[in-house]
Amino acid sequence: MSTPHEVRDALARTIVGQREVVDALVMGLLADGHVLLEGMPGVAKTLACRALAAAVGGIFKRVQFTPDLLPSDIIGTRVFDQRSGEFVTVRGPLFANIVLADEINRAPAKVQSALLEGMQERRATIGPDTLPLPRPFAVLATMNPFDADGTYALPLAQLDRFLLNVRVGYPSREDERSIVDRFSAATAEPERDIATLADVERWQVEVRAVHLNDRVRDYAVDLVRATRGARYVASGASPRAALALAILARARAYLDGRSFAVPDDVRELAPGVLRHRVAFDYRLAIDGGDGDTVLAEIVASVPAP
Amino acid sequence: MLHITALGLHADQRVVRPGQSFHVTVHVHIREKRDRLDELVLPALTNAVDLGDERRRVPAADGTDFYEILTVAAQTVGTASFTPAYIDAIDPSTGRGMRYSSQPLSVRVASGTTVADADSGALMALLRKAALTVAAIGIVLAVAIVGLVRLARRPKRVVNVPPAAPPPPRKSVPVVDPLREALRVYRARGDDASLDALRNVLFTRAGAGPGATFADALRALGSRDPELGRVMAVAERARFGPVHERAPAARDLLTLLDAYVAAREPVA
Repeated sequence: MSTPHEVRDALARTIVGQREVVDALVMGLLADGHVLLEGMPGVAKTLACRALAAAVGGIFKRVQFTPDLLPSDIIGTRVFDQRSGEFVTVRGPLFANIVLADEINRAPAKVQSALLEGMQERRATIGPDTLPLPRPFAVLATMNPFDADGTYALPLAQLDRFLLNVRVGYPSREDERSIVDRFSAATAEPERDIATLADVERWQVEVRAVHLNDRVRDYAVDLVRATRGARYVASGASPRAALALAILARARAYLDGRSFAVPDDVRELAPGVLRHRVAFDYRLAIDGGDGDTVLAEIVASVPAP
Repeated sequence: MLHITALGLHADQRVVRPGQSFHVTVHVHIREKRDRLDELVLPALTNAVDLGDERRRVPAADGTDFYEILTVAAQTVGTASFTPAYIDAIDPSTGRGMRYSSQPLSVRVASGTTVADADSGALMALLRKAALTVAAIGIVLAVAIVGLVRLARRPKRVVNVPPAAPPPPRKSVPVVDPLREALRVYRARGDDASLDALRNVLFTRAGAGPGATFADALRALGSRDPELGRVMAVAERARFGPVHERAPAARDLLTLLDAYVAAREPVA
């Protein structure tokens, strides 16, 4: 039986630096949630997702989102079988254990909603058939927040389906030199089958059993509530954010080898959980501020137990 | 940051007999609306034993009042003394850390079955004392009225209680070590509130400020005192662990802390 640490270590060997991204992907998997990665092109977002999929085995599908994509390109379609004279259901790439939705904001809203509905309901309807998605199931989506031409911004309600939003920054100079040394002569090949899908399902059950003290739970709730009505915030985070904080705090504790979550788990995860769930108003842009700074102030304003 | 506007220490008896219990009350008024006041450090006792204490919180229109009522018993004839209660907080007017302290308190411990017995004497002596007392009260009242009039003319300060430096330790008064005090209270009560107070003291000792978490405290501690890091880790388990882990963790915490404080000098 493998441990999530082995998966994390395998990812860390493939992805140079970006420890926060690696941890977020593993925690998202443990918490049975979906992760949104935001960052400039070329910072290993896609490689990180591929590495996770390779490490846990199972079926991995990648969909490059483009403006001409259709919902059926993701969910599947009904194809007529000439031999039987009937339409048969052909499942789309959504029917995989790990789905990489690359540049999710380049497809129109109807495609995004088809994907996000599958993420929420864990099933997809193709013609008359409603089919469950495989277990475990995780969508890892990437998005470039800077190159906005020809993109379709995801509404808050849809972003809310992602458990975590991770900002993928540039690597340090030392890491960048290491990347050049390692990958200029050979392609990055992720390590395969470090764990099995059964391992992942077992971890997910064990994460749910991690103890969450009432005061830690209250801290998560207070953090989410503090986003509502805060300065520069047009729309605060939903109760789903508190749920996300709670389950991710458990996942972080589990990854850390603890049987209980502590306030640090909640506080460390809060930016990633709240970032995509809070809408900032126009005054923030006028004042030249940025959302992460506002969130950091909100988090700092809530005393930890 | 706290706006502390009152920090008083008073007893409900001026003269007591050996073994007689009485109450010593620490009163704190702050402008903030707070549920708890973990920063308050209670007085150390000399010639008296602590029988128990009770904390009351009274919401007020202009903030919150906290009353810490200690039930104590005098030991031997002489004086039962109490070191000042204090709070380390950030002065809002300067933004700097400061110690806010109450006055010390003394209660006379006299022999005899009643206070009257203890002070029994000639009727004339009593009358003379009464006359002197009335005169003294009159003088004090006059001074107080003059003082209040002057005070009313002065612009109001954010903090009305002048920050008093901790009094120099007297030979008869032991050094007040917040960690030992918090450990004593936690050992006596064993509840979440006393464990929270103990964690705060540990975090402060590690160099972290108010509202810090375990990770903050570890960062502040660095490699200075690994044993303190271990103690804090066990305190986290005792506070936030699942029910079946908390009792053993609490025992471990007490054992570790006993060894920790035994190996170190008290720190005021």
